[in-house]
Amino acid sequence: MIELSGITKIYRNKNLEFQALRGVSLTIGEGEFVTVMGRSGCGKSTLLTVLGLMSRFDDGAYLLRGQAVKDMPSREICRMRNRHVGFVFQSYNLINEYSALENIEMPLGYAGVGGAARRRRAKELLETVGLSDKARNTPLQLSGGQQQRVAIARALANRPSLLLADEPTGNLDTGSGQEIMSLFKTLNEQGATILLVTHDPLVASYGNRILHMTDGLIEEE
Amino acid sequence: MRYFWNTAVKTITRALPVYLPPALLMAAGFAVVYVLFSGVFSYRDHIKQSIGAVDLSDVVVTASFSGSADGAMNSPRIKGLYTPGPEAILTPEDLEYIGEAFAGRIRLRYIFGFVQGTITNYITPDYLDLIGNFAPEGDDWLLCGRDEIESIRALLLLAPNDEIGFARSFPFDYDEERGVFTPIGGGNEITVYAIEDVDFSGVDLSHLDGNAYDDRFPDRPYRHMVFIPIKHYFDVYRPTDRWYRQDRQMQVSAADPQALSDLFIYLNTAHQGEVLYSGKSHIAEYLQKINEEMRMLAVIAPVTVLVSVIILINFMGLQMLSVKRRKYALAVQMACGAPRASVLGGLLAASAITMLASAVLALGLGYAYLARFKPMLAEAAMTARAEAAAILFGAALLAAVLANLPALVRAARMSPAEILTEQ
Repeated sequence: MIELSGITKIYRNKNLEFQALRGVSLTIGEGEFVTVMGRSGCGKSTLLTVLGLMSRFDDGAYLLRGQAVKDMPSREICRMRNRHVGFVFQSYNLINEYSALENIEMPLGYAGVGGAARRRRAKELLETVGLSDKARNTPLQLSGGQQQRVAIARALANRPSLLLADEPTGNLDTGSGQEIMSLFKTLNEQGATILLVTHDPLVASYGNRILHMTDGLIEEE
Repeated sequence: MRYFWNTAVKTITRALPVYLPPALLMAAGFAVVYVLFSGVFSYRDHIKQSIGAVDLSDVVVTASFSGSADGAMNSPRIKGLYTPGPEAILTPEDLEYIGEAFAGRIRLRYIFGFVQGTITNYITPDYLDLIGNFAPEGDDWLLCGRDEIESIRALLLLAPNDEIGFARSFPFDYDEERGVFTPIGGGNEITVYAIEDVDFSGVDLSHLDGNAYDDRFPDRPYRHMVFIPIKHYFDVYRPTDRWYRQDRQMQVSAADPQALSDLFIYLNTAHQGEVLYSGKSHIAEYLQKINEEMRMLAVIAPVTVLVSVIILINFMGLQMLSVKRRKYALAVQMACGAPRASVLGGLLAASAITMLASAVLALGLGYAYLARFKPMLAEAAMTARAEAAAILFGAALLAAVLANLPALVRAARMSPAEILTEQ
C-alpha cells in the first residue's frame, strides 16, 4: 500500500531551516492499522501530511498503491488525495457553514459524484458513524466527538484505500476518544488501512503495529 | 462544474451573517458610486446635448472692429503681396495655427459682408488660398445688399481714375480663355447675380443667413442680396483701399465645444483684444456657460473617481477581515481533494456573486435616490444610468478580485497542510 524510502522534508522560513523528516523509510501493507507515537515536534504530523499528499517532500521516494508520488503533477495529486486518501484531523477541520451531511458530501462532490448519489452515500456514512439523526446539524451544533465522527465519515466518503488520522482523539474527552478509536478499529476490521498518529499510548495500543518517531526518524516497536 | 457553483452559492448563503454586513455596506458605497457616476455621466451628456442643439449656422465667430483700413499695410493693388494687418479677422498665422492645432476639429467657413456701404476689399488670392483649405472652392460667396451695389456702381461711374475705370467694368461675365470677367455687352452697367437669377439649390445658404430655411421668415434677407462667386471676384476686381469694412464673420462647427472654446481663447489672446472674437451674443453666453460646465465637470470627475476608489478600498478592508476564514475553507476543500484551481475559482465566484448582489442592491438604492431627488437634479442625473451601472458592476467585480487577492495569493502558494497549520 505504502512504500517510503529515505523521505526527507525540510521547512524553510527565510534563513531558518528545520529538517522535520530525516530519511524516513517505511512500508505499510494493505489492511494494517499502524500507529505512530512520538513527542511533539518529532515529525509525526509532517509524516502524515506527506503520506496524505497534503504536503510535498524534498527527497526520497514515495509509492502509494504502486504509483510514484514525487513528480506527480498537481492535478493528479489532488485526484489521488480525493480518491485514495482519507484524512482525519485533530481539530476535525469541518466547514462550519455546512451541515454534517454536506461536509461528508464534499469529497464526493470533488470526485464528480452526482447530487443524489452523493447524498445517499453521505447518509450511509452518517449511519456508519452513528449520526444519522444529525444530518442537518452544523458542526457547531455537534459535540467534539460527534464532529470527529463526521470528519471520519467525510474521510471515508470516497472509500479510500488509506485512512490517515492525526491525533484524532486529541481534542476529545476519554469517553468520546474511546468511541472514536472503536470506530477506527471497526473500520480496520472491515478492511481499511489506517495510519494514526498519537502521543497517547492507550490510543496507540489500538493499532496492530506501533511505530515510534524521534527527531524525524522512525523506529519500529 | 455544478458542484463548483453549488459550493459557491452555499458558501454565501450559509455564511450570510458574515457576508451580509460587508455586503450591505458595500451596497451603500456602490450606491454612492452609482449616483456620483450617474451624475457625472449625465452632466457630460447634458453638455453634449446642449452643444448638439446648437446649429452650425448659429455659431458664428464675429470679429468686431471698425475704422478705416490701413492702406499702406494692406495694399491690395499688387496681387499676391497682400499681408493682412493685425486687425484682420484671421491672419495667415492664425490660419496656419488653426490648421495645425485644430485639424479635424474645427471647420472654418467665412462670409464677407457688405454692410452699410462697406465692402470687403483686402482679400487677395494668396490669403484666400489659406482660407481655401477650409472653404472649398465655389462653396462661398460674397454677399452684399442690392442697394449697396447700386451705390458702388454710382460711385464707380463717377470715379475718374483708371483703376476705378477698370472697376467700373465690374463684370460677372466670365471669360474662360483669359480667366477673367469681361463687361457684359461692353456697357457700364453693373450686372450682379441676385437670388432670383442664380440657382442656389445646391448651395447651403444657412451659413450666409441663419434664417435662410426658416419658414417663419419668408422675407429672407438674402432675397435682397446679391451673390458673387469669390474666386471670380478676386480675379477681376481690385477694389481700392478707400472702403471700410466691418462685421466679417467666420463659422465654426459646434460639434466640438472644447475646440471652439480653445479657438476663442487662442484668437482673443493672439490679437490681444484688438479684435474681439466671440459668438453671436446669445451663443457666446451659451458657450461660455457650457465652458464653465465643462470646467466644473473636469473638477467633479476626478473627485468622483477618488471618492469611488476610497470607498472601494474601505470595502476591500472589510472583505479582508474574513480572509483567514476563507483560507481555512480553501485548505479544507483542498484536503478533501479539490483541485486548487477549483477552490480558488469557487472563492472568486462566491465573492463575485456577493459583490454583484451588492451592486444590484446599490443600483436599486441609487435609482431610488435619483428618483427621489429628480426635481432637484433638474432631471440631468437620470440620463446616464447604463454607463453608471456599467461602472458600478465593473467596480463590484474589481472589488471581488482585489478583496480576495491576499487569500488567493497565499492559497495558491501554500499546501493545504501549511494553511491548516497556520490557522
